[in-house]
Amino acid sequence: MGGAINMSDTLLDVRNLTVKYKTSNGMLTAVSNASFTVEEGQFLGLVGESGCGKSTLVKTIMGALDNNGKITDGKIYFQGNKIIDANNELTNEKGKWTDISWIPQAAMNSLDPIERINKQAYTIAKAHTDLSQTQVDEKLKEMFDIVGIPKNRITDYPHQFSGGMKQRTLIALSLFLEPSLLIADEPTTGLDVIMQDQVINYLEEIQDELNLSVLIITHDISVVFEMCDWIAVMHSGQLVEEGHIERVYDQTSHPYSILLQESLPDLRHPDQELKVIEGDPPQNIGRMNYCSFANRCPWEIEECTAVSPSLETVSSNVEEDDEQHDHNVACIRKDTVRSEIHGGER
Amino acid sequence: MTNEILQLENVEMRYQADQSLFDRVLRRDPSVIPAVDGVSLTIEQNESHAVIGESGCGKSTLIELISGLHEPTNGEIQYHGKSISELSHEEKKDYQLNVQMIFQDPYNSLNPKFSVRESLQEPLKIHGIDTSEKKIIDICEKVELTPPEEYLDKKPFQLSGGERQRVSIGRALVVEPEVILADEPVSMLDVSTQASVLNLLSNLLSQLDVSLLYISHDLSTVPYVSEKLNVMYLGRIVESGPTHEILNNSMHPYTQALVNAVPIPDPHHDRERILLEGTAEHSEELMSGCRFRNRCSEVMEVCEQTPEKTHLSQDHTTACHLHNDNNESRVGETTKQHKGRN
Repeated sequence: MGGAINMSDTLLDVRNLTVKYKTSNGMLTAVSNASFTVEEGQFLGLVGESGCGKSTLVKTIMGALDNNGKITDGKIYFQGNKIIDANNELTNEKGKWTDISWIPQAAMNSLDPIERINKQAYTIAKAHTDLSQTQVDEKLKEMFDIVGIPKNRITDYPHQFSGGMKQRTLIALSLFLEPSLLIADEPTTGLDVIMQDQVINYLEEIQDELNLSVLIITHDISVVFEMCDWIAVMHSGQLVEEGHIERVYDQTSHPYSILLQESLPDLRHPDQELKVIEGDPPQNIGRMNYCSFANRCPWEIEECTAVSPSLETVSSNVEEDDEQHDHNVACIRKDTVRSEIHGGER
Repeated sequence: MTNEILQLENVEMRYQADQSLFDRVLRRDPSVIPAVDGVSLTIEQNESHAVIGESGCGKSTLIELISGLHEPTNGEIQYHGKSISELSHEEKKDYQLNVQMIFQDPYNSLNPKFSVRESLQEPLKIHGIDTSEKKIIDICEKVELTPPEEYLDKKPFQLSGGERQRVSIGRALVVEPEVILADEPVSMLDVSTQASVLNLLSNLLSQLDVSLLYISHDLSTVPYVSEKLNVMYLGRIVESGPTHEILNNSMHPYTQALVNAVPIPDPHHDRERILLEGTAEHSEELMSGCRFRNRCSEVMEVCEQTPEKTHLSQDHTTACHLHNDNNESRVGETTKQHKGRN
């Protein structure tokens, strides 16, 4: 990864992670040689289409892979301690559950419908702390305050909340043990724009207030541009581009990230033509010694199907050690692509 | 004019809320929920209309009324000048043929046991139209399921979300209807597939002789499929007009909040947030007066009265006291603003 990493600031460190699933057709690579870090206080957005391996990545971090899934290579560190490696050995289990909080996809339907919210919070507290119900209520009120739900509603049942409020309740519950990392899988999918806006707003507020690191998994790149300060783009198991959000936006260099941006309606330019990404991501059976985007890519050349590109720092004229300029791309034609798209404007 | 296909006049749908046993024993009147309240809308030949609003605003009820699943409690839906509740059996069949639907969820709206061919043949069979292979192949090509031979024998589980939605669109178009009702057709798709389905819809609209009623909560997709926009809030249309005009110059505070809530895919863009708290919920107090007043930042005393529809220009209307003619000082302000932006 570009630049020296100061270990004390790195919260989550995923190194060369490869995860495969055993299927009837052979070993399917879901995540291929992925490396990234989440620093303290960082707001990272992981973007990709359905099936690109983003949920597998999160499940691996949480040690919740399905039975047919296996880490074949790589390690994951949390706060400098290894939490999982290729032997699927989970270490530091207890610490992980209180320090990392995970909101799975469509989790708002997973609140217990016949239990009051404060009772559900007590269930969490009982497993990890020795707080009493009164203390739990006090703390939950604080959390409700942060996510913008009236404090007196902690004794409500989930059905008394709207979709956006349920999602915020889950955020409140996930903050309950004061984790240092919050992982939210598609936190706004399935909500209408108004509720989505509410959730984004409160996630931003939480980050400001609690200095929490957040990892957002989504297919909607506009949500990432809206709220995150770092972005990682994933296509069919491979991390294709990552870096500081403004830097990636200004100097987008991977064909997939470029097309992903252009396929998105932008309300400021309602007449802009929408680009379509042709084809589907490949089924990665066997060794992944190719770029997974090659068969969909307008810039494809022969070599693309012969080597698996690795993340390399994009050359920049700006002072190199400024973290705002960290930007890595996995594409053998990145310089050609970038000069074609962004021209000589720099 | 003869080219009006559908005309909704003051359409109203009131549901009775569920009552507790206690209320029933005491014979209390059930509370009434006006899901659709005085909606007027005219869909002409080759015209596309969008209805936008958040969950619970009544936009799906509106589609259910038009498709004939419910009878409106008041008002009238006319098809070529004749009320749909008075259609004879024959005419009703003709109406059902000419008004087709595309549903939100492509995963549940196709019969899992039907191949693509059978799904496309089904509406033709129902309406006794010839189901020749040529017709089926034609429609596949129209909705860009190419080459058709590869798709015809596939079952829904072998298709991606975007391909399924293309089958749904094909199924609606195969009988050559006059109007298509599309209920959030792209909201469950990935962004990249969403783009291809939006492009397809917009191409089909320009090629074919068909009108569209497009329902969604996401304003950013509207310009691609519809030139007219209606914003709905708790059963009422609060603003309507040409899509571009509303996007650039929205007048109703609710429309402004909706436009504002759409994320802008640009990290340099720092938008001023208008945060709407809570949700659109019917309540006893909101039965009369402006329904948006409990969430509106510009609420005034006069909002206790139901706002009348005001014309801002020939085809741009809004129902908000801020823009009401009776409120002289306000009007001067908005017209100035109006001119300033153009």
